[in-house]
Amino acid sequence: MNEHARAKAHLYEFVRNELPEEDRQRIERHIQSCNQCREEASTLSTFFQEVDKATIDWSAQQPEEYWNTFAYSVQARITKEEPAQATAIERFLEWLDSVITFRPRDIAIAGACCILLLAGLVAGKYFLQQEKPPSQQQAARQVVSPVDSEYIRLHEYFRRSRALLVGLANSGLEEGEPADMEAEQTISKSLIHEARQLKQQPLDSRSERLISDMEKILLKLANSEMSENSADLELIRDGIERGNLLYKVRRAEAAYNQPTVMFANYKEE
Amino acid sequence: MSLWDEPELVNLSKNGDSKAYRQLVERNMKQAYNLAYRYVGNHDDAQDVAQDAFVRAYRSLKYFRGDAGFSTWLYRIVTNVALNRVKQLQRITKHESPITETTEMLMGHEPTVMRGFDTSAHIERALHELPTLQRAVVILRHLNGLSTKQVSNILRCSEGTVKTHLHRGIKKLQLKLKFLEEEQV
Repeated sequence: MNEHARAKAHLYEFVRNELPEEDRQRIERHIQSCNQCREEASTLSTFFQEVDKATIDWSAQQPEEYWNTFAYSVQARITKEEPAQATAIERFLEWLDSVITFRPRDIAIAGACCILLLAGLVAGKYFLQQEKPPSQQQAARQVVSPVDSEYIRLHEYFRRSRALLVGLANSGLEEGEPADMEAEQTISKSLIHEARQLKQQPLDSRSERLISDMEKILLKLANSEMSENSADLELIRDGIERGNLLYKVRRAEAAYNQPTVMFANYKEE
Repeated sequence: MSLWDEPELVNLSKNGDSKAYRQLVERNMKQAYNLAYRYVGNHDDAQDVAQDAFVRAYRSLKYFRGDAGFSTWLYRIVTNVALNRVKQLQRITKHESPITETTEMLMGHEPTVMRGFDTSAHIERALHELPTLQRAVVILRHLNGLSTKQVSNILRCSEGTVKTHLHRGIKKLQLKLKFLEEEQV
């Protein structure tokens, strides 16, 4: 800090004669050579003299009798207010009063923070309300599985099951006629394996029931000796029809095709 | 009893010695009243603020650790109570500059008779027009003659902040009271 800046920073203390002698002399020397500081010090000094002259000792305006009774008045207030025990909140406020000072800037900052927080909460609530329908669907989605890959897997399972069921329905074999169902049986085995893995995942009750029903059909198909006769195939077809499995599988396949929208509808129904 | 020093009186008061607390009140009442008056600008409110501050100080004595002097601590309470009172008054007068007793005293008196009060009234009015913290700093530091450190303790802010507010407050007062110097010339 150069001499000029130092003098300006301590001009108040200098004029009020509050500086240690060494500092006072140092600023005095600067003021001798600096017109600006000299003028400022002179103006301040005149101003302070005016203010000091006009400053009133307000306590001296009151008669001595007033001051003789002041302390007793305070004591009377203390005694008067003492029986009414201060509540915990009052005691806390008193304590706060004794440690915290009125700071308008802090209050303004705290107020601004509260307003911002409030605005954030209101805005958040507004946007949440705006997005309510999708979030409900999302919740429905989470009942089944937390990740999209599982939807894709379920969709694939039902798609393959549907293809198999359609194939079985359209095989066109007569009762007792030997059938080559090797390909279907291989697919069945693969679907049984897939169904067992899917059942390890959290599923909604309807899908779980459908997969179990399908599993019975698939097991029958996988273990049948179709090359000897097609009686087993008829039993399987009968099972599919009685369980209305093709319809159910088609619906499930469609539901898992667009999981975020369609599955919600599938569940509600 | 008058030979007891302040910390001893505080300790006795903490233990419920009412005479000791009366001594503390008597030692500090005029300064507390003067300070309160400079904030609120009239006798009734100044009396109420000063007495209220002493009552609050008595109730909060158990929290007084003695880091700063009792008077510094008391000034903090007076400042809080007074500024709350000023806020209440401002709410009532809807941001009008409060009419101080000195202004009232001017009414109906010859200017020559009230020469000293005239200037005082202008100073009081100019003071009341300062922003709250600047006013508090000017009152405590300049009019009550407390040190920068004491003011920073009372207002719970840094010494740098006190210096800044004092500088700005004095500058504004100079501007507001410039006409007084011109009148003299």
